[in-house]
Amino acid sequence: MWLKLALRNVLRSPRRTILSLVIIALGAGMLFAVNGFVRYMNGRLTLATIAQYGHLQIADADYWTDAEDRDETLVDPARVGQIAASLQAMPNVVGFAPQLALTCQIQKGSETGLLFAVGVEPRRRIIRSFQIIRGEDLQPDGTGTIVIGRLLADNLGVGPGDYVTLLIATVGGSFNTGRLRIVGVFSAFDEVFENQFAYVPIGTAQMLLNTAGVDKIVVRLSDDSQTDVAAAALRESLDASGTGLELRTWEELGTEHQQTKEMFNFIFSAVSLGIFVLVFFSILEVLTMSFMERTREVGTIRAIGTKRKHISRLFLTEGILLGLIGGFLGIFVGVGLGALVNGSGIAWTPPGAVNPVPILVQLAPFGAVVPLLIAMLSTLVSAVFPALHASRLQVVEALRSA
Amino acid sequence: MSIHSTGAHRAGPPVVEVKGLSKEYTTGGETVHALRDVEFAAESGDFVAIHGPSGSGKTTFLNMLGCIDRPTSGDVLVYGEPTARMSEGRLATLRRDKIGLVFQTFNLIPVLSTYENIEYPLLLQGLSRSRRQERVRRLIDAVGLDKEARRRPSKLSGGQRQRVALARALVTETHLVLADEPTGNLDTETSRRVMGIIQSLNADRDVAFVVVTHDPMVGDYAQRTVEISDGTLTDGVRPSPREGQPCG
Repeated sequence: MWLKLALRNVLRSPRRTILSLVIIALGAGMLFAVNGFVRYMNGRLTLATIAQYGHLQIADADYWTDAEDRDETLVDPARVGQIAASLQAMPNVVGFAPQLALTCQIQKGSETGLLFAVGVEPRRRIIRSFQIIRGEDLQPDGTGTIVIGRLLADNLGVGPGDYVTLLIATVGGSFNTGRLRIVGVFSAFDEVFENQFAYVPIGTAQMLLNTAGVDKIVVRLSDDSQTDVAAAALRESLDASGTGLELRTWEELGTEHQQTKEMFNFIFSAVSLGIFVLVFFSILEVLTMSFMERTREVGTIRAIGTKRKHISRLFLTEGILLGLIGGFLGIFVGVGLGALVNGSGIAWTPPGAVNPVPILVQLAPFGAVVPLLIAMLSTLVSAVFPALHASRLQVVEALRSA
Repeated sequence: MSIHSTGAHRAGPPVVEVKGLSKEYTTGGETVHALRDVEFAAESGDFVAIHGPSGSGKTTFLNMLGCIDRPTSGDVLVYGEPTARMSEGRLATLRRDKIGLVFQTFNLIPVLSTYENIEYPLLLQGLSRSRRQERVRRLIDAVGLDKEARRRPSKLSGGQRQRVALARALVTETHLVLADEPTGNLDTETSRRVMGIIQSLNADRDVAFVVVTHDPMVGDYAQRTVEISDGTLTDGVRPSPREGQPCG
């Protein structure tokens, strides 16, 4: 009965109902669209983080604590072999590869620069956070070769086929140099990466650092969602092996990405709060007006035996119904806004980024839950004051009202 | 002044009884004595018309009888049950089950149809659908609104609306209906028709009607009339010339 009565009360004043529904639907629709944008950005960040770090990384326990003695943090071939056997036995591991990083100076003629190079196995490139734009990527038989970022290549005035010299300190502390042939130039997401990073075959890196060890083993999983399961299994295996190795997940490694994600989530929360407040005050006014107009009616139904709690329930149900209908309409508004944004081709270039990032809205059914809840909650809270006020009316006073 | 039923006394307490009822309220810094030490009783089947000039306390008295306002002192007993100290919730239940109310301005729920307006008190009582249907249909027939069952109040004439209100007041099978100026918004012809229905229901269903009115015509249908002036009741008991003769 209360539902039927509430629904008819909601629909009794079409102009006011339409105004309320427009406010709620716009609020919920905007929230749905913002949710889709945040989902898209977070998805991009996840992809970028995994592309940079892999799903898991395994290294000596001291490596993660930034130990000063580089030699002691390297993983020797025996331990690499041991962990490789464990990884091969895991069903959700699709690949793994050792990495060895080196910090050096790159020189071409009179031009020099700081370089962070990563030694990788060309045959087992399981992660790739760049795109070769000139020349080719590292080859399995490419000892003594290097691929460098576009900005670095431009600064040094070099390209594929040219030679550069790396000046480096070995793990033992002695001085070493290497003359490497550039086989490719890559473009990456940000300027720092293009200006200071390079890739060399892991054998070349070991030769330059004068070591047989590696820094870490990067692991790629079949599915992002398998990260926690695989990490738990692998941690158990590492603890049992006594190798002194520890692992980190991409979420633990990509702290800057996590911070960006948190920023987007904060923006979404702030927008949610803003829309909640906007809808709350708008609907509060509408429901209060509706209540004022129905004071005598409330007096009548109280007089013929309706209890206070039922009056409250009636007004609250009206609020929930408004929120529910408005929220569902908001989903369509959100879909429309999403289509509008996606079709407009808007893009922006984040600070330090090389290429503009398209602004897209990635709507998902689950993303409609929060806007719906916000719409319902804000209208429900808006209805609380009129509901309480209506239920507390003195019957005689209410009947006297015009 | 004590005003008691003059009808044939039945076993059990009066449907409504007032003992030492006073009502005061303050307006503009002055205390107004709306009712002063009033005594009154009505039994099933009584038809009492309460007359009085504007501001005499008629509506206040009816509100007290209907338990929608609380007395300053004294008590209203409904079916022998004192109500002065009842909680709001119990009063609501009492009004729902034991008292039918009819208002001058009909006070129907605009978003409900004729049928649904009459059904409303039964929904509050939690009656089954079949029992509700049976009772509502019976009342709709009794007040002659079977063709208007699906219409909303805005589509009904004043007389039809008041008949809906009458049916709503009686649908709980109460023996006490309180009507505040039931013909106040009706033309003479419609007023007579409504009063005829009230008289018929009063006789057929053994329902006590207490009607507050300005309209002298209403007194013609009542078994007794009571004058109210300055918050006191004066017995004007007299047999109605039309008693027992339903009018149409």
